[in-house]
Amino acid sequence: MNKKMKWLAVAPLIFAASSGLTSCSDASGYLLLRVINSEDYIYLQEDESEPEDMVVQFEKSEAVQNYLDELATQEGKHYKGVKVIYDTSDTNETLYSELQTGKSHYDLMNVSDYMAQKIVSGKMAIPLYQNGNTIPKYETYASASVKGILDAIKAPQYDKPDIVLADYAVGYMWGTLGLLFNPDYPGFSGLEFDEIINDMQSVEALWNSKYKGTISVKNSMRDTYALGVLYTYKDEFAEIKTKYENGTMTLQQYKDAFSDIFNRCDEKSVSEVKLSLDALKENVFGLEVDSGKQDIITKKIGINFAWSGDAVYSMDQGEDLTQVSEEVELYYSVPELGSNVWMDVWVMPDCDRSEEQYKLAHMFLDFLSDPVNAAQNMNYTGYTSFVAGDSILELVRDWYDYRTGEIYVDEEFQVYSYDAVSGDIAAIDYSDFSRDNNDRDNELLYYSEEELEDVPTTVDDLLPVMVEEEDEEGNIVEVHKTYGMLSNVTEMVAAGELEAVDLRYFFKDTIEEYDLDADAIFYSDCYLPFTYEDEEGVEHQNISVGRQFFCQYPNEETLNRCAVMKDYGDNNKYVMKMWENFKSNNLPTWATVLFIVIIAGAVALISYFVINSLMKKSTRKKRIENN
Amino acid sequence: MKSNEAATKTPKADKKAKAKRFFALQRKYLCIPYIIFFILFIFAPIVIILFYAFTYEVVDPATHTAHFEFSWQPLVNFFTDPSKINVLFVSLFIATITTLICLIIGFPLAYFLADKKINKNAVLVTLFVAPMWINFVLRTGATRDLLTWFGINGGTHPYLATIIGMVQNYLPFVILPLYTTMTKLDKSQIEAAGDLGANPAQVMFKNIIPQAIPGIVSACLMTFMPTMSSYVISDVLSEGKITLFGNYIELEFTNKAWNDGSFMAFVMLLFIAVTMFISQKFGKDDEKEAGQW
Repeated sequence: MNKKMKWLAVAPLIFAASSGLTSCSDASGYLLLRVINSEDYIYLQEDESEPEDMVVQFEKSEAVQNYLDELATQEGKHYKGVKVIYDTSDTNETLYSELQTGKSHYDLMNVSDYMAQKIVSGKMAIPLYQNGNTIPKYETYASASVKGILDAIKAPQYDKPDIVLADYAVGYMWGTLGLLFNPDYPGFSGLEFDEIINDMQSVEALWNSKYKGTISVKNSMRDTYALGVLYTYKDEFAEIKTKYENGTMTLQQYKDAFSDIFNRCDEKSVSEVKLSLDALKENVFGLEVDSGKQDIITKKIGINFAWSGDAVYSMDQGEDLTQVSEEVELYYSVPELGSNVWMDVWVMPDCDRSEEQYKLAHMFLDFLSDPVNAAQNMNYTGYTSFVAGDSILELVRDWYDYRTGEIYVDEEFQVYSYDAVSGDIAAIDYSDFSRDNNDRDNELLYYSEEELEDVPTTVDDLLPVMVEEEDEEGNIVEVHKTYGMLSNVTEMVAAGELEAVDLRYFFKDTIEEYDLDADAIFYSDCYLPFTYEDEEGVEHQNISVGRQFFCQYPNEETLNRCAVMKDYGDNNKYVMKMWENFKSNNLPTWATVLFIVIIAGAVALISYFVINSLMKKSTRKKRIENN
Repeated sequence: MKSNEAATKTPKADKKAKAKRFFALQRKYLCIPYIIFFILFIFAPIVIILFYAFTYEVVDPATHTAHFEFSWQPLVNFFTDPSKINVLFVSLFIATITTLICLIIGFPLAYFLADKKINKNAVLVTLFVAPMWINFVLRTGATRDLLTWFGINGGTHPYLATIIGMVQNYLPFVILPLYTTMTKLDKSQIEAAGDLGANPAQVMFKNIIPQAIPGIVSACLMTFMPTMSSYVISDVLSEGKITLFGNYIELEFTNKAWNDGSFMAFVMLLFIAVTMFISQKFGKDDEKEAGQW
């Protein structure tokens, strides 16, 4: 009886536990959407004045409410609402093994390009556009340039060789891989600024003994292997680049050839790359897991092989005087001969889900692809969104375009920003004002309220505005107010102080309010800011080193020389083996000698004690016998 | 309980006895949480390790599904792969050096701490053991910055930085068992040895050290194995340049080579078994309680 009672007592506990485990079902009356993403990869509310978390915004969005109403009226299914179960994970590999062991039940999973390819090839994901479900905003606003790259990726399954990844995956963020460096790093004291900038245009710098002990690379197989490939086959990359520039190769041929070399991972290539990497290991400061983006600010290292998003983070931190005592000005280069373009995508794992959840997942992707939301995510994470569109354009203009730098302050110290293109004058909060002021050395203009009414709305209107100023002799005179750099954009471009950055390739076909030809060309003073002299004394515009703006939006030319690093497929074993060999090291000679000495010492000591005690025993025995 | 005895008692007493028995049984059941814990988190993982260590993934070419079959392949892989053997030697080296340095530093320290004249309320011991209370990942991060400040960063001196970090981390584990043994040293025997003409070195090697053997053995145990399998310290302090046994197992698992990784974990288990056996040997001869640490 006792036993039974005990089981009865335990039973409710088991039930409670099991119901906790199956909370993925919609027993709670909510329609559930299960999402897993990388950490810090979506907008989260930081204080109450800001909009709510992105997933909460989704739960409350009109589209979701409409869908719930539709379900209630047409199918008689009543839900209390939609709940997003939002989890985060650290690596692609963890997600993959959870998926493989059947432990994870998610409707949407954010993974890198190669992992998406692996998941789809392994038949662990299901296609997206079934039963008439679409993602209209993604189709409208996803930038054709990066979407084109995604569309070109194949994910062959063993019985279906023609599967295209884009049917299974929706782009979220993208970026490049490059060298983040600090030209003022103390270890580079003997080197000229120009020389460093020039060196950093190539990955060869990482093998250069000039920079020995100042570099950190990723402690991650794929990224470091890619670096090794870029170095090992540099001559071939240079050759196809020359061919493309000569016109003997079309752009498409160049891209294909580049991708072929970049994705080499057969046994022979892997062993060649291994030799390069062994040499690299001797030259670097270390292999970092996640510390590189901080180490470069604290000046432990001078060069970091980094993802563009991390590079932006480091640059921002380096300029933030609340974080560092002294400003650290970092630069980012996408190697001249080419590099990697990566993208993080959403895939739908193959697991139990209702028709409603399937539909809801599409609505979530649609919501994320809305440029307004994408801009919010981008603003929060610092990574570059897959979608373009007006809101993104506006955000990028706000961050980097010189023309949006105009600031007005009226008598009551309300701060206004003026966008010369849209003509908007908007009140902004003081923190924005002070930040802009620090960044761009804006001349502050003080306006009374009446004068504010006269504030022009276009550049043409702007010039004739007259203001009273004191001249050198103290007389009040009416002069043209030359609104700082604003009125001089064309002149400044001509003088080389500003640079026109053509991002039409990215915003093409996605913007409505703005004018593509006028507004998707940005005016910036920090995009590709360098010129350098070659050996013959001819000046060249540097094509691969820039700051935040360049990290986030490489120009079309840069993107053309970047390829996606595909899943290694069957060759994975060679790369893995190579990486294990690369990571393990022989004992250095001094250590071997020391080790042998210690072992020999220990053996000698032990045998001494053993022999000693044996001898004692035998003498004792003898003594007893003698007695 | 005998039946005639029970018959003489009143029904009430019988009930009481029953209740007593019920509670007596209850006390035993207090162990259940640990048994459940043991099965779920100690026994089951070991079974899983053994399973993966002696199987290998086989992909069926017809259905493209993978399953595990019994195989010696992980064992063969382990002994034929030079990088794994290298890692084993590097780990053994670092573990040996760390243990030795810890003993050299810890032994005299523990000896003086055990002296009641120097360390009156045992407060000093607490001070030396205090670092143990801070999570070692945090401590290692701080050590990294400190070492960079001293100019011994992992980028240029990976071995030195790693060994310093290991010693810093495992020193308390050496001091504690040694201290416990030292407090129980037979003082009169030491004095007698001196009085009978042994010189200080003889007192040390013939008297104090033999008395402290159980403490030394458990100190070695507490240092050697964890050092071999630690991976955060070597990763952080050597800037990823030194791969220890623990790092390598992690690498195998992230590379989805579960079988090879499990076999290496099994090798670790063997090492632990061997060291336990050795320590038992020592424990037999000498008093056992000091080896409890």
